[in-house]
Amino acid sequence: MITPLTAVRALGRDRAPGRDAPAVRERTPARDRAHANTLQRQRHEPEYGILVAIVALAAIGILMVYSSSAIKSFLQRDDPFAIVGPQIFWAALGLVAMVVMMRVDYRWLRVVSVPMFIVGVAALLLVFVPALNKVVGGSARWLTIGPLPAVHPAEFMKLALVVYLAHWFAKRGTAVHGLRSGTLPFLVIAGPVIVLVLLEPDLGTASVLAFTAFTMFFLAGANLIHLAALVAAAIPAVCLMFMKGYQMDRITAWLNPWDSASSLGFHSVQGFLALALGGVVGAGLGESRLAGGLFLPNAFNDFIFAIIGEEFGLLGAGLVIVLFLAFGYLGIRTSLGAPDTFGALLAAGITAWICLQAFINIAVVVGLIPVTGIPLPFVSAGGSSLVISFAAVGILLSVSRETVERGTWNDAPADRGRRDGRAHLPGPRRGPVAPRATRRA
Amino acid sequence: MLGRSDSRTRALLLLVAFVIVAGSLGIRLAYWQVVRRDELAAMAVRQSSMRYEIPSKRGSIYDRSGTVVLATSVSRDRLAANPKLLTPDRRAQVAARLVQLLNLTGDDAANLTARMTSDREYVVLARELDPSASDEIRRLSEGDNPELAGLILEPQSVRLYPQAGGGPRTTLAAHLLGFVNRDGVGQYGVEQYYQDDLAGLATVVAAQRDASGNAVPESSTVIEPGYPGQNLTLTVDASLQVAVEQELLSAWIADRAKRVSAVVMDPYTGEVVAYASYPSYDANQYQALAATDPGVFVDPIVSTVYEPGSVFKMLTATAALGAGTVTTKTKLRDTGTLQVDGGRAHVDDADHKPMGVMSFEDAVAYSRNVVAAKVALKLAPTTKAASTKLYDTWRTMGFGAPTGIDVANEVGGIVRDPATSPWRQIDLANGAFGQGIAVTPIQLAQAYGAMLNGGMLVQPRVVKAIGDRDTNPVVKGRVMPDTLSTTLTSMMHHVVHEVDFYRSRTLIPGYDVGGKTGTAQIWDAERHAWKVNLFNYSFVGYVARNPGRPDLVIAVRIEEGRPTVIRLGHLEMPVMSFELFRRIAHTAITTPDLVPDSHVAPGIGPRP
Repeated sequence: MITPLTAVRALGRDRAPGRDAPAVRERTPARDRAHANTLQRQRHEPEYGILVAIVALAAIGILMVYSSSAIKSFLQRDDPFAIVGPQIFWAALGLVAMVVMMRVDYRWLRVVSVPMFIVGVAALLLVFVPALNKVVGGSARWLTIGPLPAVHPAEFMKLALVVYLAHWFAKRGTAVHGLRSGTLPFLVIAGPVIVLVLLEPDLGTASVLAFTAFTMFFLAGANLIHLAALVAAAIPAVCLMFMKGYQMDRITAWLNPWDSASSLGFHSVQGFLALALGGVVGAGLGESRLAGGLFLPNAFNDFIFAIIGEEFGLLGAGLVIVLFLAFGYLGIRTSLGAPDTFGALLAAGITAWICLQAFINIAVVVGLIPVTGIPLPFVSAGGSSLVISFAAVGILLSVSRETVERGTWNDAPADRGRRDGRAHLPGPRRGPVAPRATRRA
Repeated sequence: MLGRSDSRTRALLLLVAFVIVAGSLGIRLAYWQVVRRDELAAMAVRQSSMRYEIPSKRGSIYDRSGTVVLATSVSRDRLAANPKLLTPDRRAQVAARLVQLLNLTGDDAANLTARMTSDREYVVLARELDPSASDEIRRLSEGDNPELAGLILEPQSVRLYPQAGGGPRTTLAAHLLGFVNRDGVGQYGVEQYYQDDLAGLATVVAAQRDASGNAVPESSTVIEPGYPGQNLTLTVDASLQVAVEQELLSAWIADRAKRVSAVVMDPYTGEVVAYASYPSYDANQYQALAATDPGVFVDPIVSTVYEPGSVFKMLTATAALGAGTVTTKTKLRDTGTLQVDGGRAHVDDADHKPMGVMSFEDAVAYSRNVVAAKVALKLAPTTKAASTKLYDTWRTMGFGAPTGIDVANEVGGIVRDPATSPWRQIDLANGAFGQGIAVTPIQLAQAYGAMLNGGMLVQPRVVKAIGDRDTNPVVKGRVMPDTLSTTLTSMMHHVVHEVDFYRSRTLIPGYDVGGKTGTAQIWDAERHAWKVNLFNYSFVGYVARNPGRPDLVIAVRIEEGRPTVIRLGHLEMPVMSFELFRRIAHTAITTPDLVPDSHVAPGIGPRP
């Protein structure tokens, strides 16, 4: 019988420290001892808090997409449901995807992680084939193949990258810490993906991918010195990139949105005005002035948070932030309680991705960072994003079904050694197995 | 599988980072929604509000019967397009179809094609489409795969002047009515004078607007409801107006004149029943004229002045008879020429021939300049006092000031006040027969009206009713005793009966007529000399059903007529001013329902 464990073993065993199978067997319930290969962990209820937060966000999303797009859709397409209709359909599809992923053992993902990653990179490359891509707003972000609806490969790439990195970090174990065994291979994996998305060009999605990848790398045990060096190297690179006039203008518009209120700063200023109109309690559902989606061109999309702020005020907008924060807390808790490194990194990666994307989006609206066009997860209109995000949360829920209490068998700290590359013995008087040649007796 | 290679501490650090980021987002949110709320919310409301006006339907203008529409507003579509919505191929296709549909050729077709195939978001392709063309465009724009696309039909209010005038390419009473420009503002004439009544008050609507400046339909609220424009009923009779315009046209052609004008007025009420000039214009085509010949819009009856000539002898008579210095039978000697100012200047009769001793009324009938000058000089013992007397008479009779007629752009004429610049004898002598003063035809009609109606100066007016509200005669006051009015009326009667020359061509069998001619030289300001063989011919007179009871006063002016027979004191034209007067008078007095059975003379009760 093939289980995720046997399948993963066929891929090559984890290079986790103390890869002593007997130790596992000793702590395995007796009924499974005879059938070690069919070992199954006890599943329990998923973390329903995550489910509640996400469904609440999606519901707010559908409501607000309708509220902010109805007039515009009615005026332009004679159908107030032209935008919210598909959104409801995609949300339903996403819920199905979430429930399916919740019921599947997340370890199966280790089997498909490599193919997923390859397909994701291939899709990103296909975007550059002129015949297949669909240009939206000056950048080639959509892929149309045959009669299928246009998909956004970068959205799929987010999930594929998280799954693959979780798999790869889990396989590497503490070797992630090293330069040649960890940092450089990580850059080889994550770098091309980020560069491809950057070339689309989609700075927003690229930064979400980069932040997510580096957060996972950090959690997986990255060498802080390497990480600091990378950040130090990235700063001039980013500065150089922003020297391009178009990006520079965006920065200027961000620093002084009121000076360019009718051009580049238009979105920001309209967002602030919408928030101000909302005040503390908001104008009420459907009462937004700037929306109707008529002043804010992306009211149902990247700037939907401004409309939430206008219609439900500080309370409603604050609730959205709190929901994302609650999601982040529950996600990290799931990660901490995950039964294995893969599950932990998977949970942390998904949580980081959703929360980072949400925080970047909201930060844009409130003017903390320059405008980059990324949707607010679960809330903004957009089919690809919604389905993929729901599937990712399904995976997170699947991990949450197997969390274990602290103090159980897998709670032992990973032995990261003494940073001298040698093996160390466990125990209170840990020391190198053999004294160093240089060490004096 | 024992243990985990990921870091618990770092995961907790991530959670801390989340909390910090979420907290700062919340603080920044509160900054916008609480701290700067009032300031920014006010800005947002300002930016997203708009006010716009929906013009009310402009009132129509009817003739005095209330049945003939002289001017009305209709809705016509303006054809605009947004070529940017279409592919270049499609634009060319639509342009070609439109050219065919609108029957355009040459420049018009090229123009439309150029606009339709441009890359702009809004172009106007055609204005004032026929209703049938609008319907056709609407029909072709419907359906799944329409022949036409990207087009916008915008209803516009268009002013129509449906009645043809008496001349070619003119509309009826064009000068009197004026026209309405593209902004819905009346220009010239009644359209300008009654702009506020005709236009009504536009409905003011407040609405939210979107980023492209369009109003959001659901958000519109009416701030001021406005009201529709009022209809005007003119005092002018359409059938008489047509006839007068036709007479003017024929006189204009025959006399090779620059302009001819005529006003027919009820002297008791001031109602103008005909008001015409030629050359006139087609008010429906005012835009083309505005580019080529805007001078044609100027109304000769109220906006241009001229030296009236001998018609002003009646003013001299009014002054002298009123002062009692002469009577109609006073014998005076016509010497053919008169030295004034100690021989430095002289006035001559038109034929330079003395007619000897004659009564004052004969002197007026034969239009003796010398006698008129003598009478004026003897109005008072001194030249200064006589000047003041004549000047006061002029002013009393309404010269030198606008009559107040309800037509736009009226001028007051030019009258020199002897108190500020003293007259010499020659000025007084010239003034006695209407040289050295500039008046408008409507002033002449008003003054003669007072001489004929029993002595009341009545303001001329052209609007009988605004909406349902009738207008009332405006009586400026008594300017002479009733008896003097009767005397002056009989003098006018005497003029046309005494002189053979007039009698044969002025009298209308069965009716009483009277009046005074004027043939004035024209000063050419550029050459500083009198124009050669060009004269202003005037006739102001009355027609009556009952002898001595004038029904209508008629002022006729033939401007810069070219006489065909030129002898000293004898300037003949194919259509003389008094012949034109007779034709108009006959038509007017026989027009049904024009003159009431008995006149109520203002201030003096009914006149049978």
